[in-house]
Amino acid sequence: MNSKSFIRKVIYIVLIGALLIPLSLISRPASVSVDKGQSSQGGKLAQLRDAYGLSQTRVSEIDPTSETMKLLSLGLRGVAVNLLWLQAMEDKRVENYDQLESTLNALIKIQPNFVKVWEFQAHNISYNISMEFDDFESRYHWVKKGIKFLTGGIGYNRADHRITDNLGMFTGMKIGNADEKVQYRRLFRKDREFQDEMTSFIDPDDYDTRQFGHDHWLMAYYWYEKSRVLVDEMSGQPYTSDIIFYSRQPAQKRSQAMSLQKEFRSDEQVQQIWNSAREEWEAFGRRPLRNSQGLEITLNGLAEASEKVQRFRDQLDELVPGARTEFVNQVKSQYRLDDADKALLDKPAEQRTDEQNVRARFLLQQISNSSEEVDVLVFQRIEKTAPEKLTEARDLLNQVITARKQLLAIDRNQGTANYAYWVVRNEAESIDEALDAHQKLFDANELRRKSIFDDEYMLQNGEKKILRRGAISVFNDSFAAWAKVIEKFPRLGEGDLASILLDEMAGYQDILKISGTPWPMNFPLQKLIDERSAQGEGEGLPTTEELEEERSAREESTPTEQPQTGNDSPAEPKSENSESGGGDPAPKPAPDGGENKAAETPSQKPESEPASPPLETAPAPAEKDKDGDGK
Amino acid sequence: MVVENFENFFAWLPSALWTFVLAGGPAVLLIIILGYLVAAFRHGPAEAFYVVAQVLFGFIPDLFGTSVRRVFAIAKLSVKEALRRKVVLVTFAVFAIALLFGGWFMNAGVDNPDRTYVNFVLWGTQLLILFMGMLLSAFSLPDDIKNKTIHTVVTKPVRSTEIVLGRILGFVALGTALLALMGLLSFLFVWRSLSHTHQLVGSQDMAAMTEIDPNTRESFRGGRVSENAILQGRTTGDSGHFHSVELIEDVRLPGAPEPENQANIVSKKVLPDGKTVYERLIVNPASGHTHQVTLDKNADGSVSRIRLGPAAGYFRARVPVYAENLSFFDSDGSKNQSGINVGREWSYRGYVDGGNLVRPDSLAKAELTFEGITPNRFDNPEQLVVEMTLSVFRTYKANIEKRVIGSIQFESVPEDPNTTPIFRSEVSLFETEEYNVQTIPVPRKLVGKQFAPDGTILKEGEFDLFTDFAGDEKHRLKLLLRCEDRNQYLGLAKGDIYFRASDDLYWRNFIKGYLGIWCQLLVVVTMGVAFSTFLSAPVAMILSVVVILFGFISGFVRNLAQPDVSGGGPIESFWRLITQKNMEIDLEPGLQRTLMEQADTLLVNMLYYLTYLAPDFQRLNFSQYLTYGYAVDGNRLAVALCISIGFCLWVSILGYFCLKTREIAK
Repeated sequence: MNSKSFIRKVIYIVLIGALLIPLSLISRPASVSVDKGQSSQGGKLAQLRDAYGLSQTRVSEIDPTSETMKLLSLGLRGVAVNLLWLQAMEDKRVENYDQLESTLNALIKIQPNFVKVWEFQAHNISYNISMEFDDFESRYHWVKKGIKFLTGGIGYNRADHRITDNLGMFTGMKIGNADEKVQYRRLFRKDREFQDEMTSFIDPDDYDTRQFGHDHWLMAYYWYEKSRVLVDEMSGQPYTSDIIFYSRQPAQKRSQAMSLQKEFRSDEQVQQIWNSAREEWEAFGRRPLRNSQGLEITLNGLAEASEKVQRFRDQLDELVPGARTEFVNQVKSQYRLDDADKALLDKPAEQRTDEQNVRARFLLQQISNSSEEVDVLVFQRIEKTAPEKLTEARDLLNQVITARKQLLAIDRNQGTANYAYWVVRNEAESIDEALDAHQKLFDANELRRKSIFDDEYMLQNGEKKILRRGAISVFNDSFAAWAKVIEKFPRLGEGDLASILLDEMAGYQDILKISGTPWPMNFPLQKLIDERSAQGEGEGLPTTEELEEERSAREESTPTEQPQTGNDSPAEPKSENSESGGGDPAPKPAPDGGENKAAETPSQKPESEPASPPLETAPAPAEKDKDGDGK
Repeated sequence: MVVENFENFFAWLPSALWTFVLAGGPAVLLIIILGYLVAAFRHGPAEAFYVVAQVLFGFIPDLFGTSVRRVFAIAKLSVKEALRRKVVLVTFAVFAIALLFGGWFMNAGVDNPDRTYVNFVLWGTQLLILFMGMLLSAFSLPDDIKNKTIHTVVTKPVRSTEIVLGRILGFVALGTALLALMGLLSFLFVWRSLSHTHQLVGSQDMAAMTEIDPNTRESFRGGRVSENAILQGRTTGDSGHFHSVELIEDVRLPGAPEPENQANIVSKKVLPDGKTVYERLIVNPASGHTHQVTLDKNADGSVSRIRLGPAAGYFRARVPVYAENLSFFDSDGSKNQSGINVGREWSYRGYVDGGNLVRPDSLAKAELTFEGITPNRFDNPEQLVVEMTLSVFRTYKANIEKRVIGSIQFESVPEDPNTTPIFRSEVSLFETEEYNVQTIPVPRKLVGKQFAPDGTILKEGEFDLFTDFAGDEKHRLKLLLRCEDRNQYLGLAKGDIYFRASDDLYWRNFIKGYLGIWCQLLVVVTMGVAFSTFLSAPVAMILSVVVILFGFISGFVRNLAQPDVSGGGPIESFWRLITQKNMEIDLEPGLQRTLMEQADTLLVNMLYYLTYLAPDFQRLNFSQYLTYGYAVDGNRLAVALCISIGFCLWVSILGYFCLKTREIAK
C-alpha cells in the first residue's frame, strides 16, 4: 500500500476519533440508572433541553411511537403535520369523530412538544365536538375525552404550565358552567372510571368531599395548584396576566360552595368551604402580582396605597402650606360644574340611571386626574418660592406619583378580579346568618318543587295551629334572613348574589300568583328590588312605587264606612276629587321620603361647595368582574 | 356510514365506457403522434409513417400469437426472481411485527375498537402490499435490461406481450398469495384483539343487582336507565370499558311471540289481562358491542349464576336496502328537494322540522321510497328491521335529559293516485340516538288504515307489509319520517335509513374488502411493469407513486375541474391573482373575458378527462364497509373490477408498445 495514502488514512481516523469527544460532550442523551440510582445529565444539548423543558432528554422519557413516526416522515414532518391537520379538519367537517380521534392521536405523536396543538385540539374536543351530540351523556363523554387528551401532553411538556392550567379550566369551568352543569356534575360525581384514570395526576381523595361526593371544582383546584407550582418553580411568567392566572385557583373553592348550595341543603361543611375560600382569597390578596407595566402590587393594599399617597402629599404640602387649597379651587373652577352636574355627583350611585352613571364617572375621572395637576402646581410653587426645598420636593413628588400609580394599578386590578366584592361575599357566606338564609331558601324551593305553597293549618280552640309550612312562608323567612345578611354586608347587593336572589324572588312571585296571595307590603328585600330595578334588573318584580300605586288604587276602590249622604258620590277620597271638579288629585305622600330627599338635596347644598368628592379618592372603578372568574 | 353515491353497475357501465373512450382516445392519439414524431426524427417523415404503422399493426399478430405457456413460464420466472430478492419476505416480516406489537399502541377503550383494529389492519396491509408490488414491478425489467438477462428471454423468441403479461401475472400471483396470508392473519388479529368477556361486579347472581331510585331513575353512573329497567348492575372493566347490566320488564301482548332469546329470562308471569311479562337480564351496549347473558337456574327456577358470553355485535356485515328516492317536505307541505339547511358546513344531511308555536301541526316530513320490498329479500320477513343514523338539531335546549322524539310511518305507493287506495300505518314514535345506529323492528303485520283516493277510510286493522303496503308492481314502499318535538329538527340523508335485509358472512365480506386491495395491487403492478419498459426503475417507481396519489385525490381534482367553480378556471384564476380581484368580483365583459372563459372551459374539460387516466383509488377501497360493518355489494365490486381491468388493459398495451420499440436484442 502507498505509505502516503496509509498515513493519510491514519490521520483521518485519528481526527474522527478526536472529534467524537466533543460530539459526545455536546449530544450525549441524559439517562437514569434505576439500579444504582445515579443519573447522568447528558451532553450540553441535553442539559439545555432539560433546562428549557424543550423535549424528552432522558432515554426513558422517549416515546418510541412518537420518535418512530417522526423518523418515518423522512424529513417531511412539516408536510405530514399539515396533511394531518387538514385531515382533522375534514374529519370534523364530515362529523367523523372516531376518525378525528385517530387523526389527532397521530398528529400529537408528530408534534408532542408543541403545546398549542394540545391546547387547541383538547379545547376542540371538549368544547366544540361535545356540543355536536344531542345526548348529555355523550356530551359529557366527549368533554372527558378532551381532558384525557390534554393530560397526554403533560408527559411531553413537564415544565409547561399551560397544559395544567387548561386542564383546570376544562375540569372546572366546562363541567361547572356549561348549560348541562347539573347533569355533568352528577355524572362526574359517580364517574369512578374517570377518577381512576386521573389517579396518576390527582389523588381522588383530594377532591372527595365525603358527604357530597367527588367534586370537579376541587379537581380543578388541584390542576391550578400544579400550574402555579410550575410557574413558581420555574420563576417564569404565567402565559396570561398574573391577576388572571393567580385568581383562578382560589375561585374554584367558592365555585364549589356555590354549586353545592344549589344542589344540596347547605350545612357546616359548605360553610367550611366558604371559610376556606375566604382564606384562599385573602392569601391571593396578599400575593405580590405584577401588572402589565411590570409594577408589583398586592390587591389587599388599596387602603395602604391610598394612605401612602395622602401621606406623601401631606409632606409635600408642608413645604408650601395653603398652596394646595388654592390650586384645588383653581382647577375645580376650570371644570365649571353646573348645578345639574353637582346634583348628579351628590346623588347616590344606585339611584342614578345608566346614562347618569356614565356622566358621573366621567366627571369624577376629570376631577381626580386634576389632582395630579395640582401636585405638579404645588411643586412648581415650591420651585418658585422655596428653591432650597426643591430637592426634597422633587423626591416627594416622585413618591406621590409612584404611590398614585400603585394605587391606580391596585384599583384597576381589583376591578378585574372583582376582589373587593368577593372579599365581602366570602366573609358574608362564612357567617351563621348566611347559612341559615341558604337553608331556608333551599327548603322553600323544595316545597315549591312539591307544589306546597300555602301553610297547612288547623283551628284549635279558635287558634290557628300550623301543621306544615308552605313555600310562601318559608320564602318569607329566607328573604328576611337575607335582608339581615345584606344589611350587615351592603356590598352584597351589587354582585351576583343579588341577581340570584332576584331570580328566587321571581319564582316566589309566581307561586304568589298561583296561590292568589298579593305581594307583601313589607317585603324584606324591597330595597334590593328598588335598587336593581333602577339598573334595569328584576323586571316584573314590583318596586315600592308600583306597590304604593297599587295600594292607593285598592284603597280608592274599597268603599269606606262613612254614612251615605244620599247621593251617588263615592267615598271620601273620590268625593274629594269630585268636589274639586276633577282637578289634580291631592299629592301622594312620599313612601319613605327617599325621593323627596333626593329632590331636596340640590337645593339644600350651599352653592359655594360643589357636590364633588375630594380629589384624593380613587378614580372611577373599572368594569366589575361580575362572575368572579377574574376576567 | 356515509354513503354519497349509490352504485348500480349496469347504469354506470355505459357512461364509464364512454368516458373511457373520451379519456383514452385523445391519449392514444397523442401517443401515436409522439411516436410518429420520434420515428420521423430517426427515419424521416415518410419512413416514419411506415415504422409507426408497422409497430401498430404488429400488435395484432403479437396479440393472437401470444402463447399461454410462455406467459406462465415468464410468470414463474418472475415469481422465482421476486422470492430470491426477499422483498416478499421482508414485507411479510414487517407486517408480522406490526401485528405483534401494534396492539400495544391501540387503545381498546375507545368508543369503537373494532373500527380502530379493522382500520389498522386494512391500512397496514394496503400500504405494505402496494409498496411491495411497486418495488417488484418497477425494478424487475430495468434490472433485467441492465444485466442483459432480458436478451436470453427475448431471443427465445418471446413476444413483448408475453413478457409484459407474464411479469404482471407473476407479480400479481405472488401479491395475491401474500395478500391472502396477510388477510388471514389480520382476521385472526382482529378477532383475537376484540375477544373478551366480563363478569358482574359483586356476586355472580341476582344479589349483584341493585334497586333503581324511583325518584331520580339514575344509573349508577349518573345517567339514564332504560325506561323499563327494574334493577341495575355493572360488569368488571375489561379491554378498557365496562357495561351496565339491567333487569328489564318485557311486556308482551296476548298472542305475541315469546322472546327469541330464552337464556336470559329471569322470570315470566302472566297478568290477568292476558299480557305476559318477561323479566330479562340484558347487558347494555358499550364500545359498539354487547354480551349475551346466560342464566344458570336452580330447581325452583331461581337464578344461581349469571354468565356473560363473549362480545357480540363486532363482526357484522349488514346488507342494507336503501331507498331509491328521498324527498323532503316543508312545514306547509311543499316539496323541498334537499331539506332544511340548519347552518352546518357539511350539507350531506337535510333536516325536517318538528313545528313551532306558530305552526304546531307541521306537515314537514322526509319521505323515502323503497323498491323491491319482497319477502325473499329478507332473512326474517315476519319481522323486518329498519336501521337509522339520524342527526339532531335543537333550536333550544328544552329538557336535555329527554331525547328528541321522531316518528316513522309506512305508506303504500299507489299505481294510480286517483283510483288506487292507499295503505297507511299507525305512527310509531321513537327516541333518537344521535350518531348511533338505532334499530326499529317492523312487524310484517302493520296496524293501519286503508284510504280511498278521496281520503275516506275504507278499512282499519292489520295489513300485510308485502302484499298490501308494497303490493304494487315494483313492490314500492314509502317510509315517512317526522320530528315530533316542537322547535327541533331531525337530519338525515339517503344512506342514513335502510332496511337491514340480512347479514352477510363476516369472513366473506372481509374477503370482499381485501378484493378491493387486490384490485389496487393489480393496478400498481401493471403500472410498474408498463412504466419500467421505458423508464429506469426509480423513475418508474416515482411515476407509479404519483399516479397512485393522483388516483386518491382524483375526486378532489374532478371537483375543481367544474366549469362553474367560483373564481373561474386556471387562466381566469391566474388573471385574478395578478390583478388582485377576488372571486366575488365579476370581470369586465369583453373579448378578453370571453377568450379566458373559453380557454378555461377547454382546459377544465381536458383536466376532467385527464383525471380518468388514473384509476380512482377511492372506488377500489372498501375499508369503510369493513370498518363500519356493512356488506360490500356486488355492484361496487363489479365497478371496482371493471375500473381495474380497464386501466390495466390500456396500461399494459402501452407497456407492450414501449417494450417493442426499445429494440432490445434486435
